[in-house]
Amino acid sequence: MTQAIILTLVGFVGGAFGAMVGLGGGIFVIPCLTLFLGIPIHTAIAASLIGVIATSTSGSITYLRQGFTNIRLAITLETALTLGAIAGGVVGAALGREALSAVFGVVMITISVYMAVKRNASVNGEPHEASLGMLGARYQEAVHGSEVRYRVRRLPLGLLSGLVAGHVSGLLGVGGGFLTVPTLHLGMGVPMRAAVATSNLMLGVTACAGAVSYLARGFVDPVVAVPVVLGVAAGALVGAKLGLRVKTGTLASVLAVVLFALALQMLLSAFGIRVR
Amino acid sequence: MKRVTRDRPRGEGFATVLSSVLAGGLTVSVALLLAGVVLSLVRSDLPVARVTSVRGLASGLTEFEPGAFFTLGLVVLLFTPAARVAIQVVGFAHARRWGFSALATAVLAFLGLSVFLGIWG
Repeated sequence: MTQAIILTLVGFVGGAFGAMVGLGGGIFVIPCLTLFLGIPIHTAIAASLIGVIATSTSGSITYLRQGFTNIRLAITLETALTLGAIAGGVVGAALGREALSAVFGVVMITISVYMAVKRNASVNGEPHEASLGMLGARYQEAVHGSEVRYRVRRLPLGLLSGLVAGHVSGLLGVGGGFLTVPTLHLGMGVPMRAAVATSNLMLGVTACAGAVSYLARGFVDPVVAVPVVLGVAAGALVGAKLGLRVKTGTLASVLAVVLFALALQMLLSAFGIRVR
Repeated sequence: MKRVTRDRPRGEGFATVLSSVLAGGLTVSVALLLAGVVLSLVRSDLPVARVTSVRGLASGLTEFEPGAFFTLGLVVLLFTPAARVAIQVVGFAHARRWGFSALATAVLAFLGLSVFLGIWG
């Protein structure tokens, strides 16, 4: 019973934070389950993937209703994400986990520093309605109430990033939001709030592909997965509502700090050092 | 504080529908999981078994086994994003946004392929 309560709390925190910054929460849940609760890695990954789906589903309910999610951009990038997830599952260990961790550690540190420096920068100016393009959108900013319009730039970069994020998701069992949010915001000119909401929607589909495979192989342990999912579902609802009250600059700062910490953890794990 | 939703992707306008699909899937899933929790507390003599077949799931549900409710709840949650994409295929087609409808179909196909590879690969 005590373990179930702890698992629910882990899920709640992962879901709340994941929905707030568009990461899915898997990257928080997996280390908690394996390092602190001694749960086998495959069981933890399976629970985390289902948790990511819960975060995505629960968080997107709010973001879609608020109009922050760019549905057309999401479905466009989901083609690359799902394709990448399949490739990740098929080629599997072609690239060693250590090498992958080292590469991602360096990339994520660069992204986090850049994100911290540019957190308040206007990424796109304010295009006119007619110049929003096929994928551009507009929404009402929750904090100060002004209308934000944006045009989506560098779609090929987004598709490439989607392929890589999907691949990593298939390989490591996380949602891939740690790559999609910075790419959407910094690379494609999508405002932070829309980037978080759009990434949040896309994570569900990406995690779905991997989770089915874990379910089929019998790695989904209801004793672990159910408390995590229930915690995540509640946490993501809270996180998405909390995210609406936070200024986008603050959101970017928080994400930069989290990315930096995760990058450090990945780099250390690449060299065989585990942080408890 | 009242927030006005202004972003409706031009021509589609079905963000609320998608939100409702996700809310429906999540509600059913959480209800099944909670039912499993209640059953596991009431019938503490039963182990929480993993259900691996459709037949086992059906008999488990009729016999009120907690494991069957947990499995069905998780499966419903797993397929909720796929249901959202399926709605988008129809929604975009209805709005005559054929390009986006084709993309949604591709996503659904890739998802089906990943399920196939996951189970039989």
